[in-house]
Amino acid sequence: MIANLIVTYPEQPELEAFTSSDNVYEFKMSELEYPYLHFKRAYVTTNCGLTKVEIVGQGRLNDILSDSLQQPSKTWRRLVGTFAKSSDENNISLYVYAVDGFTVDTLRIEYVRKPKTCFFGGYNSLEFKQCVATNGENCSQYYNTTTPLQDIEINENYLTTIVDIAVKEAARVMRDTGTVQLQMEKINSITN
Amino acid sequence: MASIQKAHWLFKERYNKTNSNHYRDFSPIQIDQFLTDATHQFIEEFAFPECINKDLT
Repeated sequence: MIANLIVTYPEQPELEAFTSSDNVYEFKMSELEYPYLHFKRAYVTTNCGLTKVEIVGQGRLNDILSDSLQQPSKTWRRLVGTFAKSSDENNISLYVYAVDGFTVDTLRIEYVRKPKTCFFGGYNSLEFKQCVATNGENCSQYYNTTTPLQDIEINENYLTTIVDIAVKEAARVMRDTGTVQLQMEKINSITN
Repeated sequence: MASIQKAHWLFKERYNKTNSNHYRDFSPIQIDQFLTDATHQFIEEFAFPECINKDLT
């Protein structure tokens, strides 16, 4: 469904660690080729070769790091990673936990990128207007009347489903409960 | 890639009831926003369950 949004190596080059201390390596998602949306898989190159990173949530991190059967291990070529705020900006970083003698070099990550905002053309976007109003730099990066059309970055086979969802949301705004109900029935019958 | 022009046409074909003597039709910027929101909703609700690690990020 969203295969065209999944970015893999080598289209996404390997990332160098932004910081590393006490066997924790930080890789910034803001340095990726495309805007990051969701995680798929991650490997790192180490002094023991290419190793998969097991991603865990913040809730389980402490337990896993202190559990001898799950914590990072050079013997078992096991690494643990988690997502948290970047050390120098308000963005996301992947932190990879290693152990002494198990050094991490670069990260190969597979992720879902954020699709571009679609644009029909003929109007100035709010971002463009705000940029102009505040005398910002490089305002032409935002959609404006001279920007060409921007198609929806989803496979054409799913266009009708996207439009059905859009109609449902429009009907919700208009308090048109009958249409909302009908559209939800239709979407659920297609996707379930 | 799905054509934005076709998406707008399909949207109006399916929901043009606001375009009348009493109410203005949705403007292109409004329809673009509905379609963008729908794309995100589509990814999160229907396409992304394939990815087991959604809850982590």
